Amino acid sequence: MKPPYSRFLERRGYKLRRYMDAARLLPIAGLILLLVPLMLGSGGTRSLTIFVFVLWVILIGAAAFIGRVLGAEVNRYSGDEGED
Amino acid sequence: MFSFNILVFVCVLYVALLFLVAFGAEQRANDGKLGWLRSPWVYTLSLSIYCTAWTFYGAVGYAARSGLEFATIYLGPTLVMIGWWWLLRRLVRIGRTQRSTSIADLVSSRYGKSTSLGVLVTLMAVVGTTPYIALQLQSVVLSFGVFAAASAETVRDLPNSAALVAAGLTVFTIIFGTRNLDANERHHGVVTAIALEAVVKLVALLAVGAFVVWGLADGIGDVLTRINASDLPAWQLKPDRWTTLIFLSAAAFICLPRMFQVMVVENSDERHLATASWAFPLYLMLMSLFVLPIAVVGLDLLPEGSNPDLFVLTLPLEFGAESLALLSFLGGFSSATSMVIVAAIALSTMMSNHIVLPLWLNFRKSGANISGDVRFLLLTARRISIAAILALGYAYYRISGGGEALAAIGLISFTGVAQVLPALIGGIFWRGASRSGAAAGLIVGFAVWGYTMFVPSFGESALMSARVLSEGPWGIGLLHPRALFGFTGLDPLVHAVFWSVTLNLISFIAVSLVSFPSPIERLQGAQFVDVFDHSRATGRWTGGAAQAEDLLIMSQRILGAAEAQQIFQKQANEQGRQGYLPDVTPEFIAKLESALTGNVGSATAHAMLAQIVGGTSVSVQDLMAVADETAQMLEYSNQLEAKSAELSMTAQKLRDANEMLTQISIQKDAFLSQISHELRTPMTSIRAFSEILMNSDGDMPNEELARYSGIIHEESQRLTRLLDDLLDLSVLENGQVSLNFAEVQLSEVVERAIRAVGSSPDIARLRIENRAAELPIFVNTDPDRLAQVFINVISNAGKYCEADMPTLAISVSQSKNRVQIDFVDNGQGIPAKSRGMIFEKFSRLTDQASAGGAGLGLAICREIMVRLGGTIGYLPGQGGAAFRVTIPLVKAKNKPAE
Repeated sequence: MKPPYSRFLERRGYKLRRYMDAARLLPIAGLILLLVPLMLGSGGTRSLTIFVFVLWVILIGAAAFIGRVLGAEVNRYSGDEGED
Repeated sequence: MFSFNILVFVCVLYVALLFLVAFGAEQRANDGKLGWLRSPWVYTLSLSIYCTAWTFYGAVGYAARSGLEFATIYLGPTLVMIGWWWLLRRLVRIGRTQRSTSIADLVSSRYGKSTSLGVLVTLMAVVGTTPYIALQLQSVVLSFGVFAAASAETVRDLPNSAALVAAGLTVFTIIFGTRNLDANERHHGVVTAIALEAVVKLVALLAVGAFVVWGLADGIGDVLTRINASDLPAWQLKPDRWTTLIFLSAAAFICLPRMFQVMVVENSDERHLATASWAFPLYLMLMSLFVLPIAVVGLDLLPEGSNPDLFVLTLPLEFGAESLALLSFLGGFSSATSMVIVAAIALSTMMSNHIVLPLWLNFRKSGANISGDVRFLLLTARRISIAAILALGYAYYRISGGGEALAAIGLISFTGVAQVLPALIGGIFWRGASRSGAAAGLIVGFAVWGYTMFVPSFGESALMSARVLSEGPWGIGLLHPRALFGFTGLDPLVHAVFWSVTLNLISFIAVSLVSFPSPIERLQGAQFVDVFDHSRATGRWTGGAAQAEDLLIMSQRILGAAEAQQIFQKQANEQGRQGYLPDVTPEFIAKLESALTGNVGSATAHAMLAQIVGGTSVSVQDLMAVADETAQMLEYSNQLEAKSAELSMTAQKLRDANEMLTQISIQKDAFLSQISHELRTPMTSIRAFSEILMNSDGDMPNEELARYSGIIHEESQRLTRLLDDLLDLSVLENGQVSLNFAEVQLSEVVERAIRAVGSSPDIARLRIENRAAELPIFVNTDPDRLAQVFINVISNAGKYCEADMPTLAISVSQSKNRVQIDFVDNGQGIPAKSRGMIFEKFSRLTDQASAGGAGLGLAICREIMVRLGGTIGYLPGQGGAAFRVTIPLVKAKNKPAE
C-alpha cells in the first residue's frame, strides 16, 4: 500500500529520495563513461587501462556511499514513489 | 618439483576441506546459529561464481589476444550491481514474494504459471550451460596437464581426471544440494563452501599478479611500459565489440541460472544487495586488476607459442614459484568446481520441477488422488538430474575433444542465456507482456542464436555443411548464418548478439501487443510489476469440492509429514477447530500453494492443487481488486470518513433527542402540577357552589340558584373539554380515529375555521387577512379534522399574539404535489429554543392560565396532520409566529369533476 500522497517531505525523506535518484543514475553514468573511450579514439591500451580502472574505482566508491545509506532503508522504503 | 601424485593429494585434501566447511555450516544452520552464515559478505562472495575457470585462466588468454576487451565481461555485471536499486532489488523482492525456485520458475510464474514456458526456459538453460560445464572440466584437465608436463611424468589417464572430477562434484552437489526439498530454504553448506572458494580464487589470482608485477617485472611502471610496448593491433579498441560485450555480460549476469540461484534464491535479506552493490564490483575489479600485467609479462617472458590461457599456472611454474603455482591451481580448481556445483543445483531444480514433475503428473492423471511418495520422487529426480547434467557436461567435453572450440563457448553460452532477458525484464516492468509474447521471443531468440552462433561454433561441416556456412542455405545469401539479411560488415559475435536479441525483442513485443492475456496472467503481471505496492498470493481458489484430507495426504507427500501437519494444524487452530483438518477456504489453499511452490515451483504446485481442488477462477473483480488496490484503499478511507460523519450526525441527533426528552420530562412535571391545578380549580368551584346549594335549604333566591348552577355547569363543561382533549389526543395517537375523506375546496375549510373561532372573545381583536381564496384548489381530506387544525392555529394566534394590532395572514401556495397553508401573525414569534417543543403534549410556553387550554392543541394538530398524510410545522423567519400546514395533493383529484 502506498502511503498517503504527500508532495513535500521533511529533510530526511527528501535526502533519501535524492539518494534513490543517484542510485538509479549511477549505472547510466557508468555506462556513458565506459563508452567515452570509443569517442576519444585510440589512446593506446595503456591509457585505456588506466582510464577503465580509475573509473571502476570511482563507481565502486559511489556505489558504496549510496549503498550505505539506502541499505538501511531497503525494507522501509520499498516503494517507487515519484513524489518529492 | 612435486610429483603429480602430490597434486592429486592436495586436490583431495582441498575437496575434503570443502566438505568439512559445508558440513560445519549445515550443522551450524541446523542448530539455529546462523550468525555470519547470513552476513552480506558471504552473500557477496557467493556471487563470485560468476567468475568461473573461464575467468581464472581464460581472462589472461583473452587479454593476451584482445587486450583490455576482457574487462567488458566484468564491467557489465558491475553496472548491473551498482544499479541494484533499479533491477536487482525488484528481482529479489519478486523472487521472495513468489517463492521462485529458479529463473524458469520466475518466468513461468510471471506468465500465468505456465508449464510450457518453464519447460522452454529449462531446456534453453540446459543447452546453454552444458558446454559451460564442459569448459570447466576442460580447464581442470588442462591444469593437471600443465603439472604433469612440468613434472615430466607420463600420466596415462589424463582425460579420465575429468571423469573423476565430474564424479566428485556430483557427489558433493548431491550431498549438499539436495538436503532439503524446499529450494527456498538456503543451502548454507554449499553457499559457505562457495564463499570459501571465492576467497581462494581471489587470493590466488592476486598472489600470482603480485608475483608477476613485483617479482618478474619491475613494478607497476615497468608493467605499464611493457603494455605500451606490446600494444598489438589486435588490442585496438573495437567499439562494436566493446559495447556488445558490456551489454552481453550484463544480460548474462542477470539471466544465468546459477547467478539467479545465488542472487535471488539464496538471498536471505534484501539489505545484502546494498553491500554487494559495491563489494561485488570491487571483487570483480580485483580479479581483473592483474590480468593484463600477467598477459603482458607472460607474452614477454614465456617462449613463443605457449598457451596464454594457462599463463596463470605456467608463469609461476616456469620461474620456480611452485607453492604459488599450487595455490594458483587451487584457485582455478575452486573457480571450476563452485560454478559446476551451483549450476548443477540450479539446473536440477529446474529439471525436476519443470520437466520431471509435470510429466509425472500427466502420466498419473488417470488417478484422482496423488499416491506414492512425491518427496522421494522429487529428491530422486533432482539427484538424477544433477548426475545427468554433469554427465552431459562430461560427454560434451569428450565429444568436442576438448580442443580450442571450447574456449569460445563462454560467450556463446552467454548469448544463449541472454535470450531470457526480454521476457524477464519485460515481465517485471511491463504489465502488457503476455505469455504468447514471451514464448515467441524466447523461441525466436533461441532459434536465431542456434542458427547464427551455436551450430556454426562446432566448426565447418560438423552440424552445418561448409556450403551453408559460406553461402547460406540453398545458396540464399540473405539467410547466411554469419550475415543475416546481408549484414556482412559485422563481427560474428556482434552479429549473432544483435540479431538474436533484436528479433527476440521484436517478437516478444509484437506478439504481446496483439495477444490478450488470461486473467491469471494479468493478475500475476500486476503482482510482478507492482511488487512494491502489494505483495500477496494470487488466484482465488473456488469450489469447495476438495477434501481437507486429500490435501493433507498430498501435502505430506511433498512437504513431509511433520511440516504438512504443522501447516494444517495451524490453519485449523486459526479457524478455531481442533485437530488437523481445517475448512478448505480459498485463503488456506492459497497459503498451501505458496508452501508447495517453494518445493516444486509455481506451475507444478498450481497444477497439483488444481487436480484436487478443481481449479481456480480469477474473476474480473480480482483483477480490479489488485490493479486498483490504491483506489480501494482510498475508497475505504472515504467510506470510513462518511461513516464517521454519519456517526457524528447520529450522535448529534441523539443529543437533540435527549435534550428534548429532558425538556419534555420537565414540561411533563410542570404540566402534571398544571393539570392538577386545572382540574382542581373547576372542581373547587363546583364543590363550593354545590355545597352552597346543598346547604341553602331551599331559601335561595331563584336568580342566585340559576347563577350558581350556571357556574357549576360551566366548570364541568371546562372539565369535560379538558378530558375530551386528552381523549382525542389518545385516540389520534393510537390510530383509532376514523377519518371521513372528501373532496373539498381548501378555501372553504379555511373560512369555516375562521367562522368557527369568530365567536370567541380572544379572536375579536385579531384582524384576519384571508388570502386562501386566491388559489382555488381542491383537496381530498377530512374537512372537519383539517378545520380543527386551522381553528387551533388561528385561536393560538388570537391568544398569544402580543402585537398592538394583532393581524393574522392566511395564504395558500402550491408546490409540486402538495399544498401549503401558511398562518403568519405579526407578534414576537416563538423563540428558537422553544420551537422544538411546541408540538409536544402538555407544552405551553406561558403560564397564562387565561389561555384556557391544557397545552394539547398543537400536539393534537400534529397528530391530525400525520393522519391526514400532511405536516404541520413552525415556519421561521416570517416576522412573527408562523405555522405552515402541508397537505398532500392527489393529482387525479386535483380538479373536481365538472
